[in-house]
Amino acid sequence: MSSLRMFLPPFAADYAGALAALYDYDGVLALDNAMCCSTNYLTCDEPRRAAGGAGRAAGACPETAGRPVVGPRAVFGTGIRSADVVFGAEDKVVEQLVFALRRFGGQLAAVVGTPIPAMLGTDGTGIASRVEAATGVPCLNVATTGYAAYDVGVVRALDALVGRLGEKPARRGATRVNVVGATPLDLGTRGITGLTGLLAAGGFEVGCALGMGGRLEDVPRVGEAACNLAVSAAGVAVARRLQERFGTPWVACACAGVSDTTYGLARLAAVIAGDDPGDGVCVPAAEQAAPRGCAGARVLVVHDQVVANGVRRDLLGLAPDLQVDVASFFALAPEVARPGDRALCDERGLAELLARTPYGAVVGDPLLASVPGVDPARLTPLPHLAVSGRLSWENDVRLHGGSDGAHRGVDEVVRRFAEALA
Amino acid sequence: MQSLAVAGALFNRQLNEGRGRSPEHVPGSHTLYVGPAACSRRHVLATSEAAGGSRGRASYLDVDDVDLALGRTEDLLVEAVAELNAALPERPRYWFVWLRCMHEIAGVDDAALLDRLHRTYSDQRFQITHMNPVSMEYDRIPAPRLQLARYAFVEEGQPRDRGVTLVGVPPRMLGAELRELLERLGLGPLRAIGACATPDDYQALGRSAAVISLGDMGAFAAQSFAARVGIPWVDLGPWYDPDLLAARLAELAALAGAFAAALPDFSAQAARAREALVRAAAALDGAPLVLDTRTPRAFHLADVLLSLGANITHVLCRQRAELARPRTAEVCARWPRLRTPLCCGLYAGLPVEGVDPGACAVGEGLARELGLARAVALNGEMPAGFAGLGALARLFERPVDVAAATVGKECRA
Repeated sequence: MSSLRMFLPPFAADYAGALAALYDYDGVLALDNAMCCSTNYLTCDEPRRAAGGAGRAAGACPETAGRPVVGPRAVFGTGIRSADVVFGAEDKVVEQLVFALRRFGGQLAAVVGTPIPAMLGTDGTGIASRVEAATGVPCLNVATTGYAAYDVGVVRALDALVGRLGEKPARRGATRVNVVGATPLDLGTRGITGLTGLLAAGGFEVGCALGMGGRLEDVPRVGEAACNLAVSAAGVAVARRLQERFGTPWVACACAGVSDTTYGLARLAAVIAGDDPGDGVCVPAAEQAAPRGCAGARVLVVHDQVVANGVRRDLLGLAPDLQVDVASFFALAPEVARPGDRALCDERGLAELLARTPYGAVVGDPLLASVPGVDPARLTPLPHLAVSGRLSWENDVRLHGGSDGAHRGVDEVVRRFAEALA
Repeated sequence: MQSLAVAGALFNRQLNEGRGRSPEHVPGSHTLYVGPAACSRRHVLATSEAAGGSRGRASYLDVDDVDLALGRTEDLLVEAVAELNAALPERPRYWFVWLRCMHEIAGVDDAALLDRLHRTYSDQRFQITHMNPVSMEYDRIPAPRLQLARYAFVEEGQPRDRGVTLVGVPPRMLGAELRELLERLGLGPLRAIGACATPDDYQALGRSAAVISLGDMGAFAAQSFAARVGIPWVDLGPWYDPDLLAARLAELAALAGAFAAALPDFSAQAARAREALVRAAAALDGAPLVLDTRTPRAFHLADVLLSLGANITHVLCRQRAELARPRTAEVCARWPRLRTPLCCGLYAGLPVEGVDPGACAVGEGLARELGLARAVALNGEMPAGFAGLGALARLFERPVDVAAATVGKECRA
């Protein structure tokens, strides 16, 4: 039976991904649920709230601690009750959203689904339309169900956002780059400030951030980018759709560490210069041909695919003889996968992969240590917040900007790992 | 005064309340969370955080919407137990199975499921509990039922001894005063689920001379458990009226009469606690006070403070059920000017009107939500015994400033 989990917790659900993607916009977010989903999201999957608010992790995020945090005006649970199950809750949710918009203000609203509205067939589209009609504020229906993983929710939320607010571009910025698909669930608690700094330093104009770090006023201009930078596997899915809609080429890179950043900036430059089609086949010939010695140890990186790809580049940058494979419990985009990369259905899939493949080491979330076949002594922790959630809020790895206090930079992680292997 | 939205309230409260809870582990048991990831994540993470971690103690069965629609939940659950029985290092004696809202809505037949589990695994015992907040409006909130469920397998033990079974809080929260009292009464050992190391320790919970509880959730579980195993139950509060507390302690002393050399007299302690509360009420100097039901037995506290001359204007309720309790109705009848809006979980009472901007909140979280600058730093703690009442009075005498009052959206630029 594949649906029993003995070693890993349930992963962040799709509604958490949706809320995480929309969190930084100036809006009011309604999670249509009884109680547990709100609590799961707020206590396990939203470090920004804890960092800026009254939670225990006030010191977890030095970049934001003590400073204003951009986030939604309000996130609330609709509090579905038995009567709503019987009679329907659409009126109640509309009233709540209208009230919240009038009370808190905001330029965006969203109603995000969970298992119970999915089961009841709640008309989220109708709710969104009625809220818009009553307030004039754009309202998104994010049709998450709670049965899918967070990456699905990220895609649905950003699709809905771009679908509602994205406009046909009048022109393209010559060096304008959108950052697509960033959420703390993949990139950690540190935001994308480091990433946008890298882009700016690389000579790129940062356009619209779709996801973490986003500003609502940039979304209508999402089609003006010369290239989209997908920083997660969910971002890849969104970038594909942006390419379909606006013809924007894309590159998948989380800029996680020196080698990955070098790769990403070079790819962006090549796409913008017209030397790279940026058509989804995002592993260029140069990278395919990179040294991949079978003589070195075989390593498995388990994380979001795009982040894991970045770690792989960093590892290979330091130790080209390594054979590094990527595996993910979540979406695995074929365009950015290499031979040997695997989509894992669950913990059992990981255990089976490790049983049949002689990996010398694993890089991944600390909770993987309990999965059969993972030797804790040979596991390099690279927290994935979609897996370990709040357990890793205070010790996640900085993907951009080097080490800082308790938060190690990914370059340091990779360097120590490579040294240990050597 | 800005009104408080149910939305923001639900949000903020959950941030403070929902984290870090995991049921205390019953030795020899395994907990199986059933439902989508959407429902179980924080519970499994909380178990991972707890001492000993989740390995071997808790698992999670991902039953998706298709399984539910096709009625496969029961089959999957029975199979999961078989798989876990084979995989776990020790075959569990007891199983705690948590179902979710959708199972209730879909009509999963608990009785038939339980029967099937017992027939299939006759050497093991199962307890099915619904974690179904969707029913909170009409039923008791899930947490007390879950707490009660942890005692489901304790049997009436004979012979009884002098032990005391504590329900609701860990022993350390009982405080030194009450622990010393138990000693003076000749009662002991103090037993609690969290302190059980073996299944025998767990069964010993049913051999005690008395069950005592602290907190409403504990009271529900203690009352039901004590009735089932035939042990007298004493509700230790929190009682904010020193006389009521003295009466409960006298009940306990009477139960222990056979063991105690001399029954203690609590009147002096009660008098001192009352003096402290009177001083606290006077120190408030008529300033309006706002409570909410995060404060344990908030209506009882409001009743006591009002009777001492404090100016309690509001008790904000989270659930309709809190208003429906007889004790609440009594307090509201006694103090007709007391306002008791529903402000969380239900839409009915969205705005909290009439809260004085200069009011003091009981609880810093509530102050932040209401945008109030001062708070009594009682943040959900339960005062235990007369010493607890003294500490409580000191908190009321010295409200704290709440930095950067925020409502709903905190820390926005």
